[in-house]
Amino acid sequence: MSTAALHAEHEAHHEHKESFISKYVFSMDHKMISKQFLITGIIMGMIGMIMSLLFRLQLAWPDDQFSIIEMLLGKWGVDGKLDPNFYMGLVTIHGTIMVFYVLTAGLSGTFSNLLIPLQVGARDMASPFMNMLSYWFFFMSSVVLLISVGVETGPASGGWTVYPPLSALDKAMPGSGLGMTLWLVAIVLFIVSSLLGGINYISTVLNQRTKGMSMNRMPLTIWAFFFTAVLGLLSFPVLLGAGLFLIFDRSFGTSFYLSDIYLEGVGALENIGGSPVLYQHLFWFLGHPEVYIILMPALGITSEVISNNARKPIFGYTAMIISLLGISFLSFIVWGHHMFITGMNPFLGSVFMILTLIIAVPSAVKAFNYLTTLWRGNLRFTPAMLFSIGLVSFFISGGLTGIYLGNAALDIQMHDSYFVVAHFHLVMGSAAIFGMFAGIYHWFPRMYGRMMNNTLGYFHFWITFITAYLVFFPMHFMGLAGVPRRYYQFTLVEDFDVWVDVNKLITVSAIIAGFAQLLFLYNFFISIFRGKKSAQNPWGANTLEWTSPIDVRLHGNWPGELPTVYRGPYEYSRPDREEDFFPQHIPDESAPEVLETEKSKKAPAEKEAEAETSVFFAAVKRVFGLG
Amino acid sequence: MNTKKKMKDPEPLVAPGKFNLWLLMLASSMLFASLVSAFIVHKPDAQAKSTWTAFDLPIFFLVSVFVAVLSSVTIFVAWKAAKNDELNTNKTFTALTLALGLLFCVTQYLGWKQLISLDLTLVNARPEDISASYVWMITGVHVLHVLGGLVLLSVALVKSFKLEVHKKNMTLMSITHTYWHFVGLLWIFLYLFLYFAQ
Repeated sequence: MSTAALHAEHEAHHEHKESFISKYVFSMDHKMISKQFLITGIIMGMIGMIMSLLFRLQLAWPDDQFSIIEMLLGKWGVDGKLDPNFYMGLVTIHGTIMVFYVLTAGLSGTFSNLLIPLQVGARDMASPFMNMLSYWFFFMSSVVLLISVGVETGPASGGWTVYPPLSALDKAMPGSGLGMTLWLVAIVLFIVSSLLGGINYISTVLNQRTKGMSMNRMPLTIWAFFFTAVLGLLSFPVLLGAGLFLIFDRSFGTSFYLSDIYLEGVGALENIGGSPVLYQHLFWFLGHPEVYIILMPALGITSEVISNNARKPIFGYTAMIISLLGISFLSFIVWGHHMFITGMNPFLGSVFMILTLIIAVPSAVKAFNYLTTLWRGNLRFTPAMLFSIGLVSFFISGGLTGIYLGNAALDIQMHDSYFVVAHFHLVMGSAAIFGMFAGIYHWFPRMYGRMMNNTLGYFHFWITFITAYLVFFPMHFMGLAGVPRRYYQFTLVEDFDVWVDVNKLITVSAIIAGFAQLLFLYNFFISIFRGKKSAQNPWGANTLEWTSPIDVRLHGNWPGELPTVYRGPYEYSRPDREEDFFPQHIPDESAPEVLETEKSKKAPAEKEAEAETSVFFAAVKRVFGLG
Repeated sequence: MNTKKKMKDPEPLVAPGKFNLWLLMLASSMLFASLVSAFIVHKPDAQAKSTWTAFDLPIFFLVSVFVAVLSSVTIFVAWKAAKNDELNTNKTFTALTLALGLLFCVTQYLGWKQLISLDLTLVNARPEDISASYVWMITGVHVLHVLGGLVLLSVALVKSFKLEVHKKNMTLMSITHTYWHFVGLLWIFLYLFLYFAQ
């Protein structure tokens, strides 16, 4: 698949002794692994998008028949009408694919893998082998999830959050049987993949930066990937714990989550005494950091792309890092805002509410810094830049509704309504996917040595941008009117029947958005083979990835010595320079910096003599730039 | 293709394998944090004691605490010996640690048998016995971590018999050493937690 497509590109380079398998399939080169993540992510993204179009058809024209539904879904779409159970399955798997497979693995997996070693100046990840495993666990996980869509009883259908008891009792609904089991298997594989990847990202950033690359010279992309990986490392194990309990409840008869359920006055379960709310606590302890795991890499990419294309230093480099840190920290103590209406103590609700609203502060710092970076810059509107600006737009318009939803009192009305759907699709879904597109357009030359077509890129951007707003903005009004999410057919509910026209508008816009993604696919795959050859540094960027040769594939990234870093990554348009950029690796003759301090000159023998136990403290010192 | 050695890049301050191990232990700690928090969340407050069975932990779990402490001492001696190139001591004490590790698994097994004899199993008919399910889950996940440690120890033992563990080749030994302390400490923490939280 990905490997076959990539093969042709590198056919010319026969000088490598690697076999096809070790080069394209079980590759340990971070650049190849990033392409594998990207292409798998794109395929999963297409599948997730087609699923959303299928259930959008149902929502807009619930009484009509679509032959395409029967053609694609067979027994789930008899007479061209979507089966209600499969509708639930589609909603669930769409959410799972988009959240985990596209915007976590597809985004972090691609760009952390590509950029961390290249931008910090490392030969590869800390452990290339673990990195390879990370991709293949992700691949297996994707395959298991897709298989679950095809099983006889249908895929998991309880929503992407898989709350028990729907998910814990296999008789609860058709999708709670084999489909749910496979969903859990897929997610456990995914967690393993994510941990293997995240460990590598953190370890490479902290431990393997090149000479001169202190933490305060790292590009904001790296900072974002770093915090993202830390969030993943701390929160995914908790989901694993939640999943373990759920697996035991489902398959072994324990009752961690199963409380007393009565059907017609008779206890329906043998095992009782559990707490379904416990699952929600555990799930959202991952779930909330997860939305920042999705968003933060996109924010990092945007920082880089906006600064580069505005030809200006990023406004408030340190503030950007501190706001990322603030968002990361807060993300762990706000999970309760997903649970305001679970019967939580109102006092606790207020605490979660205040903490949630504080997130507006670091988020606003980021939004203002993007805008002030753009202010009076020499803007170049490349497709990547447009997508970055699009991200800022979604981040603001979607973020504002977060202030409403974070309010424990307002949430009583808006919980589980389309307002929530509108909110997270704008601030997390659209914003993050725009960040991903920005990254793809910006670093495509670095990945494939060729440029993507700009005109197609502009069409892709404008159609996607307009239709994304057309799809998600009207949902706010539906939500405020109380239209609930995940309903199969609104025409059956008199109060919601009035929204059928809005639903049609949304669906038509979604279909147009879908066609725009075909432009992107065409552009992406054609450019891999036929794109215009790229210059070594097509965007005039400062960061190190453009110093490693882009036309030869080199495992080890730099043919000679590793580059040395002399300055921060955002020195654009310096008045004392003729060119409007000043790459990090070029020494400054006029003001030579003191690179070697007494400590860094320490002889190797002395280093060896360092006691093993002090290594940890030395690393800590180094991390904070004290060493 | 390993370009690293050819190019003679500066070595990172910490061996990448070791650094990754620290991060892995952090992730593992979060897994146990989630299990332990679930226990805390689930445990009812004082008024509702009847919905929660409190029981004494099996004596064998206490025995395994001592085994864990002892094996931490032996792995430390083995590691120190390898650092000083005392290869025979290293071999003996790595083997001893492996034996203690196996003994730890045996004591856990005996502990579980004690639980079963008290009619406290993973799956319980009475809802208040959910406390026992937690003990099973937590000890079970911990033993899985110990098994990982045993694999590491076995590899280290084989390597030390092949004379591949010495002053200049310490990465595997120090990884095993650190990890073994980690699972040992983890067990002491979990035992104390389960002992006092019941």
